[in-house]
Amino acid sequence: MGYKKHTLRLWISGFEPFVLLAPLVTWAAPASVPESYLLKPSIKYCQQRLDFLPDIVVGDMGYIHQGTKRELRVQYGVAMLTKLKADMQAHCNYDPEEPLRCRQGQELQWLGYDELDYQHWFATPPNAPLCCSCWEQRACPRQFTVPADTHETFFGMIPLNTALAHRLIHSVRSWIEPAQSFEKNQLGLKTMFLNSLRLCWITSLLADSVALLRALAILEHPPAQAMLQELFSTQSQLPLE
Amino acid sequence: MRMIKMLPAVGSFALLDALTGFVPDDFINSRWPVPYRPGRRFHFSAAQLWRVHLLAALTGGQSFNAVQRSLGEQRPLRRFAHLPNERSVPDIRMLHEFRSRLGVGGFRWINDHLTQQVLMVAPLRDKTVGLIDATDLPACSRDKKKTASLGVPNAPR
Repeated sequence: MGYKKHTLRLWISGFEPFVLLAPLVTWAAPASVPESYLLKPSIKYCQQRLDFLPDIVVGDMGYIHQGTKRELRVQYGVAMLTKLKADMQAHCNYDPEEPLRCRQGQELQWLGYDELDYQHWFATPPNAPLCCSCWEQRACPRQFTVPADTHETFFGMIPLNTALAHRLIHSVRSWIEPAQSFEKNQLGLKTMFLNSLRLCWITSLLADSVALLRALAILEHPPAQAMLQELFSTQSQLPLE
Repeated sequence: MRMIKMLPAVGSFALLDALTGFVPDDFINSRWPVPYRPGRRFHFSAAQLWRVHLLAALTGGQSFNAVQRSLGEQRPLRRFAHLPNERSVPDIRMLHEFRSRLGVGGFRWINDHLTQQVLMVAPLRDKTVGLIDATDLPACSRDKKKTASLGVPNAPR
């Protein structure tokens, strides 16, 4: 028995000294409410109340619902990225670890997503090794399109086999854990006496207020040096003789 | 631009001093002005009461009741909440009424205002990235459990 605090956070990407996340929208709900139910309301809330939409949202597999992803892509122009589930991977013709190939086996590069036609453009790289000896080279356009809804989770707005998707899912996604830990352990959300959903809402919003005030203070007076700089210098000068 | 090394730790009085200037007092007071009531004077502004609530998180997860008790003893907490002295401290009922008055929507309005301020000053690249996740918060049910009464058991006199 308990509650869940659902939070959409924004990565302040231009702030370089360290990773800084600011909460945009928070919902408190009974723990039985699935995570995916609050994805679309969060985006809608951002648009209506903040007049701001993140271009890309990264989530875990709780947000894998394909219909919602498609709606975000088509209606809001928001790319929703999640990993593929294991059972989904078994029935998928595409592999996040493998590049797309043409029917003759040449690797293709992702050129981008066409928002007007909802399709992805792929092309052969310059000096592609297989193209020189391909019997179809005269008729080959060397550029190919794949509709984004071929597989909503794999393609979406950013195909999962691109370097961008890899970085977002494997590196950026993990940054949310320290943010949650900060709220639960340092701001004390874990130890608060939450005996009603309303109280849970209010304490969750107060934790967000603290995070926002800290973000404002940090942005207004950025650190003079990287927080780990002293650590870096110590490590790089280890005497090895 | 003043440079600081990093923000003080949560729970320290130095953090209260670092953050106090960013609390949107004017926005809160203009949106929830002190209501006129005949009879007893309403002592505290909405911004003061919101600051008192914020202390629950800023002091590391104290209950609102514990924060209210601490206000009488800790001068830095009163300074953050703009309370002039230990005699003029909001009581538990006032805090409860304030939460009822603002509701969840009111607290969200304040956060939306802060978020817009962050968005105005945040250096964002051309593609913005959001991260969504949920975290479990345990519900306390100690007050709902049936426990034996602590008083004198009913017995024939």
